[in-house]
Amino acid sequence: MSVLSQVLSYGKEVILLTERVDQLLEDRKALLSKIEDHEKRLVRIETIMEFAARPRRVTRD
Amino acid sequence: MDKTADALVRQQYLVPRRSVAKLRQLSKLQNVSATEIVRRAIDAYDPLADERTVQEAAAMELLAQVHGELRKAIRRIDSDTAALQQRQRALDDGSVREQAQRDTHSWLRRNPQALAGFAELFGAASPGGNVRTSEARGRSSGAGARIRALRR
Repeated sequence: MSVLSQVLSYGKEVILLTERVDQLLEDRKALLSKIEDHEKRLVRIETIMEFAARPRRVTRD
Repeated sequence: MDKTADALVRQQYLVPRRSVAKLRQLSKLQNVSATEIVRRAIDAYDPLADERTVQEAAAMELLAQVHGELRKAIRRIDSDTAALQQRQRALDDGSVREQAQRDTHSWLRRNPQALAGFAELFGAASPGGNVRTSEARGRSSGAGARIRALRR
């Protein structure tokens, strides 16, 4: 195997590795966005429930 | 190179006179035997050297490109990881939660009518069963009536 083909082969592997790391990062970003979205939705529901359950100007019929 | 008598072989080759003259000249200049000059010339001769040099140059160029791309990728990965860690910290330290709470409070203040519907849904402030909020009472003839009208 010539030096050039060996360098080519290693270079390809390095580029493949880089692409996989990039893909992992993209997946992590997407996952984090989903978690953030879920967190915000949960907080909204909690806050609304908290507000709605808060007793206000209670009167008896 | 092993130059012991056993390792050496006598050979005869026909060479032009000018080559012999050059050999003698080199022998004098280098202060070594003509045979040693011939041995060195044979050792130094490499017909594939040019091809190897071209290949090495191409390989070095390729390596430089790969190295450049790798450095760019490392910078990109570092920057993305830092941004992700910041978002992760915001989730962990509760700032995302606080911001969402503030946003929801602000939205509820702007849309109080929406809260009335939620209060009814969650059965707010009715511990004794007969206790109703004044808003809830108002709603029964407001939003509820409108929904009933729509159903009809």
